[in-house]
Amino acid sequence: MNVLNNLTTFASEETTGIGALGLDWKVMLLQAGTFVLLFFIFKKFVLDKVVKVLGDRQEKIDESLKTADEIEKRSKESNKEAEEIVSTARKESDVIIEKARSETNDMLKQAEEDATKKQDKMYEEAEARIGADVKSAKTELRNELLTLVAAATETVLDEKIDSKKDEELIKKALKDVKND
Amino acid sequence: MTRRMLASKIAPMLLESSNREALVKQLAAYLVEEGRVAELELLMNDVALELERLGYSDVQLVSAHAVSSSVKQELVQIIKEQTGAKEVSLNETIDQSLIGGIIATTPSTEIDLSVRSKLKTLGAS
Repeated sequence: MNVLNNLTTFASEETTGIGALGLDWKVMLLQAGTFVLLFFIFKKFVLDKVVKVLGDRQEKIDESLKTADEIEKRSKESNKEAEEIVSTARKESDVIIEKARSETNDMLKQAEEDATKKQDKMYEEAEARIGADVKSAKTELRNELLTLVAAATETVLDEKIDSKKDEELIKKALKDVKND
Repeated sequence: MTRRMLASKIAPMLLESSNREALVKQLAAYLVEEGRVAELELLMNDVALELERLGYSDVQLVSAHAVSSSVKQELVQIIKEQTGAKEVSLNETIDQSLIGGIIATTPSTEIDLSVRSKLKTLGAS
């Protein structure tokens, strides 16, 4: 305490140099020492902790930022991968659609050809059947006609052929046999 | 003895034998004894064929009306030419279903000149 009073006294007594400006170097020195003392105390008990906390927070922030960057990077990669997958899928789907369209067209074409062939075959069969039916009908008609003619002739001849006529027929037939 | 061999034996005997009745009886006895009565009809056909081969043709003549002698002569002539027979005997039958014409059947062939057959042929063609 005495030291402090001495210093104060010493400072108030200075009237030349800096003291002429109203500044007391002793007081200033005292204040500087106090400041340094307070600084070291503050540093020891507060600042280090604050710095440590701030450092930890900075680390966390850095880590978070790093994680965020990584996540962003991964997200970008994922997006890129997803885009690639989508692009590949789209290409594949385009190929599949094109293939399906082509196959559908082929199937339609084939079906059309088959239908045409079937239709042609049906026409041919129908024509053949009609031809056969017509031929059969003609043959049947001819046979019926011949039968009718034969029956009619038989009836007429049975009535018309007498012994004389019969002998003429026989002689003519025998003549034909001879000539054969 | 086969049927044909038997026929070839009987046919000349029929031509040569004066007692045909006895020959027929002997043949009948043989067939009965041998158990070949069922072959009689076929044997007769074979005998007729054999007789034709020897120059004697037995002809069944079917007609719708009675046939004149001139027609018969002409028919006999044709049969002789066709079969090479020296003698032809006609067995006549009337069948009006023939309508007209004749059917002459020899053991080896048939001459069908009937109207019925011609109409049948026409109907079948």
